[in-house]
Amino acid sequence: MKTLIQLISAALLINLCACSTSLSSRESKQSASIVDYLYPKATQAPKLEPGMTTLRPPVRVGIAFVPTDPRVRSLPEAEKLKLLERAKASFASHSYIDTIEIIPTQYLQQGGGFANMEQVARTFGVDIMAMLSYDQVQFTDSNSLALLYWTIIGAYVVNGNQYDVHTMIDVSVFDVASRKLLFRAPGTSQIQGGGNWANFSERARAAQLDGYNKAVEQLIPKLQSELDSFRERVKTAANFKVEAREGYRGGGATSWLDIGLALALGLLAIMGLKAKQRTNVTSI
Amino acid sequence: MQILAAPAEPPLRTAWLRPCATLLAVLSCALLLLPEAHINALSLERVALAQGEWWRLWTGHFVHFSVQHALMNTLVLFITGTIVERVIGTLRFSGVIVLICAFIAAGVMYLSKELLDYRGLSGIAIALTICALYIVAQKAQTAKIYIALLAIILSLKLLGEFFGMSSAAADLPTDIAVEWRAHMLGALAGLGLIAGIRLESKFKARHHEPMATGA
Repeated sequence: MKTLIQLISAALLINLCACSTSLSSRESKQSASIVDYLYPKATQAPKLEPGMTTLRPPVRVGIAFVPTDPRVRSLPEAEKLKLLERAKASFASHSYIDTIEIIPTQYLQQGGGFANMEQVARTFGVDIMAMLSYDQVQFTDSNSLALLYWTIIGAYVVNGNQYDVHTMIDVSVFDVASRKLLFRAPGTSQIQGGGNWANFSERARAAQLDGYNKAVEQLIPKLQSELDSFRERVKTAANFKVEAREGYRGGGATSWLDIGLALALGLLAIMGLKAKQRTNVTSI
Repeated sequence: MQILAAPAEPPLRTAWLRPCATLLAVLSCALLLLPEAHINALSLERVALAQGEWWRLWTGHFVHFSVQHALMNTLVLFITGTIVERVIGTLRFSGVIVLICAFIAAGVMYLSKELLDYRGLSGIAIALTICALYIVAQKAQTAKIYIALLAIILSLKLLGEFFGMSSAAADLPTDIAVEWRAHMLGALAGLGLIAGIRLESKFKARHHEPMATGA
């Protein structure tokens, strides 16, 4: 009997330890920073050099996610491509934009800086790079209902865990040649929810993805508005110069053959007119 | 004794001239007198067009790169335009020119992604030449063989341009290429114009048919 009491006490102790573990709050973070990518070894703020940014419309745009350390858990590549497709649609409706290339993250090197960006831009033949950086923090907590998990049934029916997902996605658009930031547009979202011990992980993962989607939804109208205002700003800003892209000038020129054809047609038309006048002449 | 039966039919010399075709020809020649900066403001420049200067879709056709370029294009436009305007009327001819200008300019900018700047009337001239061929063929009673021959020559010329054989004789500056796509679009517009004329005449014939049978 004494042994049985000892066993039950040990089991309860283990259970309480488990409960205390699940009651503790956790924080997980996914982040891809544009600053870390462009200035990986910077010890002080980069100097902003004044200079002219030359744009040659219609510009070719490359759009990519800022690369992260592959060992660190981040947004799946398939989801990244879906989000990039949505952002691409915002660029597509502008007449001063020619082609928009989606650049997979594998082509970019973590902490590659402007040198890597230029390399990729050359590979894909783009003049402007739109870089999507993100920062997502997920807080998970347990509430007092989590104590009911030890009943085993409670682990399946009681929502004793909560999550709170904060997401920020930012598009920074750079002119590759001058390395100038042309404009940026942010999108944020906050998602809260909960789940029981059995389904919490699944729900928390879905909330992370939902957080990205909602942030992109908020980002797209802002990006559209930035694209519109950038178009207007370029016309007046002193540090922007719009030049014609390398190409050719064309003339619609007729040849002597066309002139010959036109003269022959004119002659035939006059002959037709004369013939008509002749038919209109009646003899009495 | 012979009399001129129809006083409504003007004498040949005055019957030949038509206001819109004449005005367009005069305008095209007059624009030659403008300084280069003003001509640049009218030519079909891709960058300016992208910045919202939509008038260039129309004005770009009436400015040229050289005097010979302008005169050759204007001559073809004047002759063929007069033939077409005589048949479809001044008002409709004006409308057709507005539509053809926009069609060719937008088409050229869409099809030739590397084209930065376009000037010239030839696209419109080709459209009107094709339409004039049809009109003269309809009216002529004996010269149909010659008209067929002219149509073949025009088709061969357009085909040659498509395969890279430039037939332009205007003294274009060395850095200016002949934009053959404008001619192709002009040909397409000309065929569209013919289709419009045919549709209208069919509609008119159907409209008048019951009256004729009734009579």
